[in-house]
Amino acid sequence: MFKRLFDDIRSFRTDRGLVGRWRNVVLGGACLVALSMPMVLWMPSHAQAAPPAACQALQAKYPALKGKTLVNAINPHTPGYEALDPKDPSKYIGFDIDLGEAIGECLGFTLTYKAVTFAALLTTLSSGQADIVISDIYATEERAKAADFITYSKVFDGVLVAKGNPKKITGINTSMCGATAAENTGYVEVPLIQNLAADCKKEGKSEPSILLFDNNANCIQAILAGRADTYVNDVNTVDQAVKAYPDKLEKATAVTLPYSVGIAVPKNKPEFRDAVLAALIELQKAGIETELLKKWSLDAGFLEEPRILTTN
Amino acid sequence: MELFLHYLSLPYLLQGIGFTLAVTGLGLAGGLLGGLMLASMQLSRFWLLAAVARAYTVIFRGTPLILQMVFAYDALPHIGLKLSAIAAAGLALAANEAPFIAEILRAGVLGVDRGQIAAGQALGMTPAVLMRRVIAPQAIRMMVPAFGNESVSALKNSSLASVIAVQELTLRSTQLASSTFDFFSIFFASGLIYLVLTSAVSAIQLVAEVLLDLDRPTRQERFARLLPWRRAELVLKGLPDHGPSLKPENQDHER
Repeated sequence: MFKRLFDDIRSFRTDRGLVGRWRNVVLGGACLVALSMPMVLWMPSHAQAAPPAACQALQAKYPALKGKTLVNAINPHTPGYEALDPKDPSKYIGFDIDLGEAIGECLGFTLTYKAVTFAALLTTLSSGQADIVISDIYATEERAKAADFITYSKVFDGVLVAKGNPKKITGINTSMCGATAAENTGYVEVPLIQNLAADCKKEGKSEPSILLFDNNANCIQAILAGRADTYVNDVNTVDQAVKAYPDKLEKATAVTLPYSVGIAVPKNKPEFRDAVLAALIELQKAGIETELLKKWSLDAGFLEEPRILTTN
Repeated sequence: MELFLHYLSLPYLLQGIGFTLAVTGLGLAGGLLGGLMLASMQLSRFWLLAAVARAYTVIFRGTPLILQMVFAYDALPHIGLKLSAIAAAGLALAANEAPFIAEILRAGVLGVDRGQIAAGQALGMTPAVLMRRVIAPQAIRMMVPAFGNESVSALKNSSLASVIAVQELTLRSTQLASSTFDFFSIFFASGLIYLVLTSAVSAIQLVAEVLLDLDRPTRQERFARLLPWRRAELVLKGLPDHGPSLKPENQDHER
């Protein structure tokens, strides 16, 4: 009996035994990978379907991006779009994060993140400290002087007010006269509210004042603390705030703004811009963008065909 | 309370301490080097060096640190110098600390009694020997409290690096608060962490002061000093005998 045991041990050491053992390991590994595939697809953080077949062609067309690690500058204070994962704060989660990763997957690059203030998003991009900005930023002519944009969705803003709307604010109009609005530095809503001053004067009311903050969360806190009467921003962000404080906040109304949400890329990289545009078109065609909107319950997403906004 | 303890022990926040200390360390080390250079330039006999140092001090002491950080991070790349976030923050903090540290060094050196320097010169000491034997030992001792101040302020100023994407304690706290809405517990926890860090710096300062104290009492004396009936001893040990008239009269009573 002992002899047999020794023989077995010895046979393990022979070349054939070794190969046999490795074959088992490889086979086992392959089975594990095969088994985990559906699980990976099923996991919420990778909810998007496999990249569309057209992505292969795009990777062949833009080989320079393949295998690269790019830096995505974000202002991660907007749950739903980009914020820390409360369960694992070492990760960022949200629609913009997933969208960026889907684009990366399509073109063959991966992303790392750089957290900056909203007003610093485009300066970080133009100084070369970041390669791309996917942070729910609205593409305007003014901003297009600093970066090229690939737009993909209409802007739909919500007006956040304290519960009961004590100042009876009905939108970016003369109902805001005399009220205090909280906004992020650099938001497009800031000049829109400032421009009300003339109309307010005509009606004999005082002009609206604006408190400028560095991030979305501070604006919401300003209303909670009674410092501000309203905060106008992306309607989904406003909905998220109401969901977080249902007995203290409410959405007064929703307004459309003549802008589009966009992805910002450096002005001196037209090829990268075109690649992102092509990938975004494929993702939208395959329904992946809609899927992501649903996943993050951003119900009021108004996708439009991706376009480029650039100025010289 | 439970949430507060949760955030206090959250690895994500604790890892932020590393970045905070890295920026502070770079700032203080660079600031000390720059300060040494600036101080020696200002104290030198060549007026041009002193003028250059003075101009640097005016610029970097006179502009806000947050501006210098954004400049190092976002403006320098436009002239081809792209620094990482930590390096940019460290550079800005060092450039900002240097004039303050230079002034501490200068004040320490100028604070040494002129008479002692004259005496050293009269004894034929070269400037280097004079610095090593007479000025430095006294100046360094006087500088310790000011250095403690400067270190604590550098540690707190490192929080400004949060505007240029350094993942330090403040940036991590604000991001976490934005995603969890637990403003109160999170800022309380990070405040306490800062307090522990600054207390550690204060402790280092106190230890340095004790180690450099020339009148440091021996172990027995340290206890004896606390006793209310104790009188300070006259230091006559080791001195040549000056006759009975100099000896304290009540010495026998004390023993």
